[in-house]
Amino acid sequence: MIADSLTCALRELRRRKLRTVTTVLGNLLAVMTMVMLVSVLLYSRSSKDNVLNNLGTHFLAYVPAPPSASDEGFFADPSRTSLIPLSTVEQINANKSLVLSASGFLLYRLKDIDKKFVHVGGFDPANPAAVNGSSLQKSDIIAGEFIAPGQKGVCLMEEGFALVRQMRIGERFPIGDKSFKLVGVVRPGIRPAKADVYIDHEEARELISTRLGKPLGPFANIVIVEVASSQIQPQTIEWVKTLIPGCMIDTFACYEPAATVMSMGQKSIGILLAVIFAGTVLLMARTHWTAINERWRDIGVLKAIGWTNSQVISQIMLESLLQSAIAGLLGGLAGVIVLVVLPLKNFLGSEIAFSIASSLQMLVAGVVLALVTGLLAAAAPALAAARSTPAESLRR
Amino acid sequence: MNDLLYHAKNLSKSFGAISVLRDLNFAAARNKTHVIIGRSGSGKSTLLSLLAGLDRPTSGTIEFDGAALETRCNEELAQLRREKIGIIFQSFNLLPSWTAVENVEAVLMHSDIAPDARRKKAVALLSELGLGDRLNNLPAELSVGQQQRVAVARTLVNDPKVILADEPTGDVDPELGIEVIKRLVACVKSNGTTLIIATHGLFPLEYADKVWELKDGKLQ
Repeated sequence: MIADSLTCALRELRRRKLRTVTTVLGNLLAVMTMVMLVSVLLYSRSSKDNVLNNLGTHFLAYVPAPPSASDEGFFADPSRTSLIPLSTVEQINANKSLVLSASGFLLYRLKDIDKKFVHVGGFDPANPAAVNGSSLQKSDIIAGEFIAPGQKGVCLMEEGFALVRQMRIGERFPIGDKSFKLVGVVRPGIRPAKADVYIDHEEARELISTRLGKPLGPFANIVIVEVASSQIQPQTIEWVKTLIPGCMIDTFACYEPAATVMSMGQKSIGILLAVIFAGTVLLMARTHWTAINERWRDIGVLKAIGWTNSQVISQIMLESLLQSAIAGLLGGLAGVIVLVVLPLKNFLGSEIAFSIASSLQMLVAGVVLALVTGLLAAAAPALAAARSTPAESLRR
Repeated sequence: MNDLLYHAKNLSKSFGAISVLRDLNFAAARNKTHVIIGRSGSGKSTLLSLLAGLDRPTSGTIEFDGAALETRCNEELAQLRREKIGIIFQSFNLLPSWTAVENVEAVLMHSDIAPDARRKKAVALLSELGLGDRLNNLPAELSVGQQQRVAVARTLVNDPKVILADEPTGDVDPELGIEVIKRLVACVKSNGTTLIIATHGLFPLEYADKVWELKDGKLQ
């Protein structure tokens, strides 16, 4: 029975070229539009999420320490701090479902040779958490250059501090018993962890050990955490609090509006996707309905010569499925090709590359959608034809 | 076996408020040629539709081959048409995108007959009707007479018990019309088929065993 239906379906599609081409073209355009719109929409969302993810997803954790008579020591903002083992930092860093990266940061206050206070920040230039916002980042450079990972004997200086101390790029700045060449001036703006001078964390560790008169050991006084997404910021903060008992958290409150905007964005994208899917389904249904309505009389003839309702329905369904499969594949391919050719990244000014993989997923989705829609769209007129008597079909 | 192939009692058919057939009572004997004459719009096609199971009566009963027709489900009626009833439509109703041989073969599709065997049968019948060189032509490429012969072949290909012909000579010249009637009548004689023809035109009544006139929704 299926073989006969398939033979007849292929014959119909081959012989009625204009109708076949019109139906396939209608469906092809619907699938192509859907693939393009959904891909652009999803890419746009990824780009926006990327921006929002980088906004306010950082926080600092430190453990406050009791006041001391000494002016020198570990600080975070105005508070003195205790030390946190680097093993805890590693533990935080390992939880990739919550944390993008975590880094130990040393913020140490000392008096320089002129008896003036200097806040020295020891950071790891190779760690994304350390150079992505909590203390400073490459885009904060306003003169000179950033410290490269592993670069020793150099420092960065906060703009205001450099101005007051009249320091210029290339000059050396003494800290403790060492001096560091100023390679860059930074304007970090408002950040939770700000120092006057930034040096490599290993050199900071040596410097502090000298000041303390004993090895500092594997500790930091601040943990910088970059959260995987603004939406999980509160959850991540709570988790870190359990790992570092008594710790304080310093953060920008940006994650709250960022998370709200992301949530709103996802809802609006969801609504838009639903509208696009509904539009595609209706457009394809309309195309199939028109094609089948033209054949009402033929359906009556087939029933009159002894074809059963199920035989008529299966032939109509097969025709629709074949057309939908072709339209879905070609439409999806056309959509993907246009997306690949189109410089979307430049149009949207996005920082992330357009993923062809997601377009291929859309291609598969397009084919599946075309098949399901073809089936549903054909089912309605096919069932209507089956419900009517042959005489009614012939009279139409 | 009952001598009657059809037996209708109080058969009526209405389309909304319009009553087309009213309380028809008739019987059609096997292996006979029955002619229903009547003006255009008198309900002849409607009556043939009821006899073929293409439509259902508004009231009344039709027995076919000893069993009620109107109570059968759609699938049973389809099977009946495929195996026992041949229909020639007024305008032939050939499938426009199927060739002559495919139109004839269509009746045998979805049956137990192998594709090769049904193709052979269709080709043999069309050749017998003088269309051996027109097998692969679409209906639009055939003359009206040739289309009519394809319709006749389609009707005969399943060796039906009854042939229901609606104006089979309506669209062809008289000579060709007579030829078609002779062929159908010959089929009645040789195969024991029953023939019921509806016509509004002239019909050589010498071929008819029984003539009914359909007038004002009633058979006379």
